[in-house]
Amino acid sequence: MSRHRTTANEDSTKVSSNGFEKRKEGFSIFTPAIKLMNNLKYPIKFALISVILDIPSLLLLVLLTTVRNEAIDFGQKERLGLEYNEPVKELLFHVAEHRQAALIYFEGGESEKNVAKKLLQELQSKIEIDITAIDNVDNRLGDILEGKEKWAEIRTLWKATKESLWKSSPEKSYADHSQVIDKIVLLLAHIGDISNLVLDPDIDSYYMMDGVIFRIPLLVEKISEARDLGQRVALGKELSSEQLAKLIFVLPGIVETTFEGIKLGVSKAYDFKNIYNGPKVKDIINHEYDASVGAIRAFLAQTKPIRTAALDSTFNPKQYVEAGNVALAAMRKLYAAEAKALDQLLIARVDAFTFQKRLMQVGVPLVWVLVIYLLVGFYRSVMKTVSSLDEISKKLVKGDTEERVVLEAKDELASVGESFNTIGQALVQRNKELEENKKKLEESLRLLEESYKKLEESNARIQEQQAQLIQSEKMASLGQMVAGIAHEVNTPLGFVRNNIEVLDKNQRRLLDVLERYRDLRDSLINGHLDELEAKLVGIIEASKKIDSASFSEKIQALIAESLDGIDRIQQLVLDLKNFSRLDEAAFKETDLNQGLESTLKIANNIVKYKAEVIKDFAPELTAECYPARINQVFLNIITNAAQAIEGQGKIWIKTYKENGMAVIKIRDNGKGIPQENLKKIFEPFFTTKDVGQGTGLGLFIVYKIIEQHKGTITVQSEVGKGTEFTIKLPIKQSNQISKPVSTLILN
Amino acid sequence: MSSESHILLVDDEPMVLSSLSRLLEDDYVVHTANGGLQALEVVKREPIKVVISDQRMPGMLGHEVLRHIKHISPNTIRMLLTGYSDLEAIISSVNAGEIFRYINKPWKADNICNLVKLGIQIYDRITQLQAKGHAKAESQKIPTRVHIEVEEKHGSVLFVDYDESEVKMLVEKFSKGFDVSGVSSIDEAFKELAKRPVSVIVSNINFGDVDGISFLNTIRQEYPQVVTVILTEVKDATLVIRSINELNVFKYLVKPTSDDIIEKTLSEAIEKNKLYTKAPDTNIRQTAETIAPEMMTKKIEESTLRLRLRAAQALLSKTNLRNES
Repeated sequence: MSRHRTTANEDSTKVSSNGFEKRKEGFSIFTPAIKLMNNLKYPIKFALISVILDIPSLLLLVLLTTVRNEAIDFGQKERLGLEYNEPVKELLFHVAEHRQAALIYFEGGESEKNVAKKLLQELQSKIEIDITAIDNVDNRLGDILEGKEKWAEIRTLWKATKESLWKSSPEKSYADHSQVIDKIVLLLAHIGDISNLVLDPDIDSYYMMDGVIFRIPLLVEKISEARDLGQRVALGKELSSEQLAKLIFVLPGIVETTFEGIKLGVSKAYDFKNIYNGPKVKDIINHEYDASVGAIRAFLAQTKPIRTAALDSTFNPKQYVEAGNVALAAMRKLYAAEAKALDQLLIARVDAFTFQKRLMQVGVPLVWVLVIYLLVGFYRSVMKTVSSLDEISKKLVKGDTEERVVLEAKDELASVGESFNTIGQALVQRNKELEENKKKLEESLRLLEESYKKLEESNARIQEQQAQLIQSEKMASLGQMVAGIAHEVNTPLGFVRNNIEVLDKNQRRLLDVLERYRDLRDSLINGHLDELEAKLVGIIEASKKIDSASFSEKIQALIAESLDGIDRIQQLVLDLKNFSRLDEAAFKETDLNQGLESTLKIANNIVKYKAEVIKDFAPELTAECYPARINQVFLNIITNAAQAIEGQGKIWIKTYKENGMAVIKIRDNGKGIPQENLKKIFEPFFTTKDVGQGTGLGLFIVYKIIEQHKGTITVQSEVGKGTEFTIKLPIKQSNQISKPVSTLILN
Repeated sequence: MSSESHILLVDDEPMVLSSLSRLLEDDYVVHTANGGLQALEVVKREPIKVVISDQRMPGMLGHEVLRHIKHISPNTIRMLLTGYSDLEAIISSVNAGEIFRYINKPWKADNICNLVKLGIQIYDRITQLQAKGHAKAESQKIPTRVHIEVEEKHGSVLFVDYDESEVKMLVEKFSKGFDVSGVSSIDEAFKELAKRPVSVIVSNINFGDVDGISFLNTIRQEYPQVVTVILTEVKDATLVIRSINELNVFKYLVKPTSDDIIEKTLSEAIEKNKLYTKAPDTNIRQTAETIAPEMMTKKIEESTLRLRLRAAQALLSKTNLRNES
C-alpha cells in the first residue's frame, strides 16, 4: 500500500526500493491537462480535442486559401495585363511603321512616295483593326487595369495624328507619331504596373515581363527611331549632329544596354527552376531570342565601327534600315514569344496555386473528417472496452466468473480488461479453494464442537468429582474431629457406666442387708427368736463386702468420679461446640488463643499419645475472622503435626502480634517434608499418603481459608528435623469476606 | 472363687483405673498401674493371673506392655482394652500370640467380670497342669520328635479359599514341605475334614455368603486340635478382634505376604497342633470352652454351618461303609 497520497496531480511513477510505486510528488506541466482530462467524459474529451485541432487548421485553410486566392488573382490580373497589352503592342509596331512610312512619304522620292502611301493606307487599316481590338480589350479590362484614360488619350492623339497627316509637316508628323509611340510605351508600362506584372514574383516570369513591358517596347521605340534616322540618310537627307549622335551612339547605346538587360534576364530565366511545373522559358523563346540576339547584333554592328559622330564608309544606310527592320521584326517576334512564355508561366503559376488551393480545400476537410472519424472510432472503442469492463466487473460481483469476456480492443484499456478476466479466473480458483477450506473448517468446527461437548461433559464430571472430594474431605476432617471427640468421650462414658454398675451391685447388697435386717427386726418384733442367729449370721455374711471403713469412701468416690466423668463429657461436648462454633457462623472478632485451646482439646485424642504440646501464647490475640473455619485450619495443622511424629515428639505452638497481623506458629519435630514436596503441599489433591488414606485436600482447604481471610501461610521444613507452619491473619479486615469455602475452591 | 487371685489393671486414665478397680476389688486383689513400666514392675513383684491393659497410652502402647508381660509371666492371661483400632498393632499382637482377649471400649461390667473369672480359671488350670509336669505351655521352640498317640498323618495342611487359582498356587508352593490339600468351598472343606484329620487349616475369611470366622469356629468346635491360620487380604480391626476373641486364631496373615512367612507359620502351626494333640490342656481356647462354654460366643450361623458339617460327615461315613462293604 502506497504511503503517499495518490492524486491526479502525479506525474511519472517510480518504483521505490520496497517495490511499491512511488509517485513523484508535486506539480508538473501536464498537471492541469491531466486534471482537466480526468474530469471530462470521453465524448467531451474527444470533442474538445477535435475542436482544438480543427480550429487552427480551419484558420490555416482560410489563410492559405486567401493567400492562394490572392496569388491567383494576382497572376490572373497579370495575364489580363498581358491580354490588354497584346493589341497595344501591335499598335506600337504598326504606328512605328506608319511613322517610318510617313517619313518616307514626306522625305522620299516619287516612287517611294507611292509605295509609302500605299503602305500608309495598309498600315492605317491595320491600325484601325488594332484600335478596335484595343477598344474591345479596354472595354473589358480598361477599368480593372485603369487604362481607359490613357488609351483614350492615345486614341485621340492618333486620330489627330492621322487626320493631320496629309497636312502636317514631316517634323510635326514625326513628332506626333513619336508622341503617340511614347504614350503607347507608357501605356504598356502603366498596364504592366497596374496588372501587377511589374511585381511578378518569380524570376523567369519577371524577366519575361521585364522584356515585354519595358525593354522590348523601348527597344522598338529606339530601334525604330534609329532606323528612321537611317532612313533619312538613306533618303539622302542630312542629319543634325544631335541626330547623328543619336544615330551612332545614343540610340545604339540605349539599344545595346537595353538588350543586354534582356539577355541577362533571359539567361536568368533560362536557369530558373520553375516550381509551378511551368514551361521552360528556353523552350518557348529560344528561337526568337536567338534571332533577336542576331538581329540586334547585326543592327548594332551597323554603327559599331563608327567612332565619331559622323557617318563613315562603313555605314550603309540601306543596310542599316534593313537591319533596323529585321531587328524590329525580331523584336516583334521576341515580344510575342516572351509574352507567350510569360503567359504560360503565369498560367502555370495560377494553375499551381489553384491546384494547391483546391487541394487544401479538399484535403483539409478530408483530414478533419478523418480526425473525427478516428476520434469517434477511438471513442467507440474505448466505450466498448469500458462496457466490456463493466460487464466483467458485474460478473465478478455476481460471482459469475467462469466465462471470459472477449475484448476486441488490444490497447492498454483492453489489457485492464484482460486483467479483469484474469482476476475472474483467479477468483474462480480462489472460490474453489475457499469452498474447500470452508468445508474443512466446518468439519473442524464440528469436531471442535464435539470435543467441546466432551470436554464440557468431562469438566462437569470433574467438577462433580471435585465437589465429592471436597465433601469427603469435609467428611474426613469432620470425621477426624468427631473421632477425636468420640474417643475422648468414650473413656468417661466407660467408667461412669462402670461406676453406676458397681453402685448398682453395691446398692443391691445394701438392700439385701437391709432386707435381712428387716427380716431380723420382724423376727425380733414377732418373737421368732430361733432364726435370729441364722439371720444374724446371714446379715454378717451379707454385709461382709459392704461393711468396711472404705465402703462409704468407695461409694462416695464412685459417685464423685461418675459426676466428674459426666462433667468431662459435658466439657467435651462444650469443647466440640466451641470448636465448631456452630452457634456463631458469623464473621467476628475471635480470640485465637481460645480457638487453639479448643482445637487442642478436640485433637487431644490424637496428640496426647504422640506429642507433648508446648504453648507460648501472647497474652491477648484476636482477629476478625470466621472462627469455625480458623479452628478447622488449626485442627488440620495440629493433626498433621501429630501424624508426622513417629513415636513420641513435641509440638510447639506460639502466638504473637506483629504489624497488625496475628501470627501463629505451629512446629513439630516429626519426620519433615522433603524440599520437592514443600512447594506442592498446598496444591489440591497432593498427598503422600496411600490411595484412600488421604484426599490431599486438607492443606488446600487450609490455604483457601487463609486466603479468604487475606492472610498468609508459609511452611519451613527439614527432613528428619521437623516442620513449622506460620499463619498470619490480619487483625482487622476492611471488608467482610463472605463466600463459603467450598465455592471458593470450586471457583 | 479364689480370694487371693491377683489381677493387674493398666491404664493412663486414673478414673478408668479406679472405676475398674472398684468393679473387681470385691473379688480379687486388684493392682493398678498407670503405664507400661509400672505395670512390668508389678508383674515382676506379684503373681498376676490376669492383666487387662488399655492400648493407647503415652510411652509404651498396650500390646507392647502385654508382650513384655508374656515374657515375664507367660501364664498370665492377657487382655487388651481397645477403643482405638490400631490395626497394625492388633495384628502383630495377635500374631505374637500375646492376647487372649480384646475388650472393646466402653466395656460392659459383667463382661469384664466374666472374662476375669475365666482368665483366672484358665490360669489356675494351666498352672495345675504345669505343676503336674506336662509339656511346656505355648512353647515357641523348634518342634522335637514327639510320639503322637492319636492316629494322625504327619502334619496335614488344608488350604481354603474361594479363589481356586489361589488355592492351586498355595498347594503347589507348599506341597514339597508339607502334606497339603486345597479346597475352594465350605462344603468341600467339611468333606475334607470328615475324610481325614487335618492339623492346620489355612483359610481366607471372605466367603461372602458365609461369615468366615463362624465357619472356622464351627470347625474348631468339631475339631478342637486344628490350628487355625487366617490368610486374607481383608484388613479389618473388627475381624481381627473377632478372630482372637472367637477363635483364638493362631496367626492372622495379611496378603500379600511372603512365602517364607507362610512356611514358617505352617511349621509353627503344625507344632502347635502336635502340642494340642499331646496335651489338650495347652489349648487355651479349648480349656476356656470347657470351663465356661457360655462365655463362648455362638452365632446362629454356626448352627447352620454345623448342620452342613454333619451332613458332610454323614455322607462320608456312608461312603466309607459302602466302600468297606
